[in-house]
Amino acid sequence: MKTQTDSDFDKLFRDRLEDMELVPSQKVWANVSRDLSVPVKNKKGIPIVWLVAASISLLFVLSLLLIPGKKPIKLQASVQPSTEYKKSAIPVKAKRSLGRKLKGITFLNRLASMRLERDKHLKSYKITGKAIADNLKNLPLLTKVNLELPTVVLRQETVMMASIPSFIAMHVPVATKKINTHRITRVPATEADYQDSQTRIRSVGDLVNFVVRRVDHRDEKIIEFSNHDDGSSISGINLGLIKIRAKQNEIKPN
Amino acid sequence: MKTSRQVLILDLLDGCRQEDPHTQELLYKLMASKMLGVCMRYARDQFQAEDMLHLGFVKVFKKVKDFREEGSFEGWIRRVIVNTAIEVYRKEQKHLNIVDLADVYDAPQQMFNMDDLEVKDLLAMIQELSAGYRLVFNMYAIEGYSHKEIAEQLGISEGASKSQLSRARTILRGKLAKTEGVNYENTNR
Repeated sequence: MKTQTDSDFDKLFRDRLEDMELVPSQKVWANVSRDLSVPVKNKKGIPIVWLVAASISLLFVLSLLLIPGKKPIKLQASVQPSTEYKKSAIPVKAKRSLGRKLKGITFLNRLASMRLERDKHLKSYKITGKAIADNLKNLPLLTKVNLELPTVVLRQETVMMASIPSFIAMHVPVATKKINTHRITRVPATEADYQDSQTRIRSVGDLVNFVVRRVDHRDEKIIEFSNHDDGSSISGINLGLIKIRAKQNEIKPN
Repeated sequence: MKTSRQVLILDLLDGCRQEDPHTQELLYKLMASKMLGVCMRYARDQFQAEDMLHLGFVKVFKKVKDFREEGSFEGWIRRVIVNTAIEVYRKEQKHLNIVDLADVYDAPQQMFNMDDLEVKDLLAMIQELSAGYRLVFNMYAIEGYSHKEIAEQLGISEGASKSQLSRARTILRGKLAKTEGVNYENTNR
């Protein structure tokens, strides 16, 4: 009996079966062609690293949006300011047209930009300030701008009205006319002259009083100045609960 | 004929890399019958073999860009088909039937005269083997894999590969002996 090793046994199968060929059915190529035409799906899906990163980002955004006390992110920030501006612009305009409540505040602001200077040569006071020209245009009470250069003679002192805001000029109607100085000194003072003297601005205190009267309509103003021979000094302060009033000398007409 | 076919297959390589459908179909028609022969040895029947062929060629066309031309294109295709057969086996059977190494030996066996056997008879014998035996016998005896390579491919030990091969040979020898006995009886009648 002949013997045969494993390698010989394997060779018998290999020689017969290695190059074996069989014709496949037609459906095989149809299936192959179909699978090749179908777009490849990403079987792996989204990598877990990206999922973790997306989750962290989502939590961060949610924490920003949901934690109370923090200002939420405004995604339409460009639209918001314009809306607010429109809302606030209309009432401000209306207030300016009415010119009642804001009148005093705007007036004080404008007053802060003015200066009262004394002209030594002309012996007169001159109200100056860079913002005067603008203020003249924008004053709510301004109805007419006096373009002339009227002068007012006050005890040998002349105020250049060109530099005085027109609202002052409006309330000093006398100032719009040239007054003969000799006539003033010779003619005795009348009641009308006394009223005029109350409205005339002879010192800084008068100017402040005039301004305060325009703003503060109470009987006791927030601050009042009184004139005397040495100049002007504070005669009263009214801060609501605190009221200080100096002893007043009765003003008598001359 | 064989050389001319190899040249033609290599000419189709560029077209397949460019995913040209006409070239892909030409390559399939040239290689399908031969690759189906490979699949038949790994499959239990022709239906399963054609499924392997289908999956194998889809892989060939999708991975042809990775072919580095270090070996023959036909050899690369054959290897892709065998790997596909292995994957099919893995899906069907999670575990191989492990045989004790004590049963594995390479002793001289009875001499068989296979001249009278037809290819289809030998193929039928292999297909009758269990999947694990069939796989290891094909890889080692016909494809020429080493036990180390088989172990790496199948995720088993080299000893397990040897035992599978030994069992497969024993079964095949029994089938051959039975067939020769029938043939011997038929010849003497």
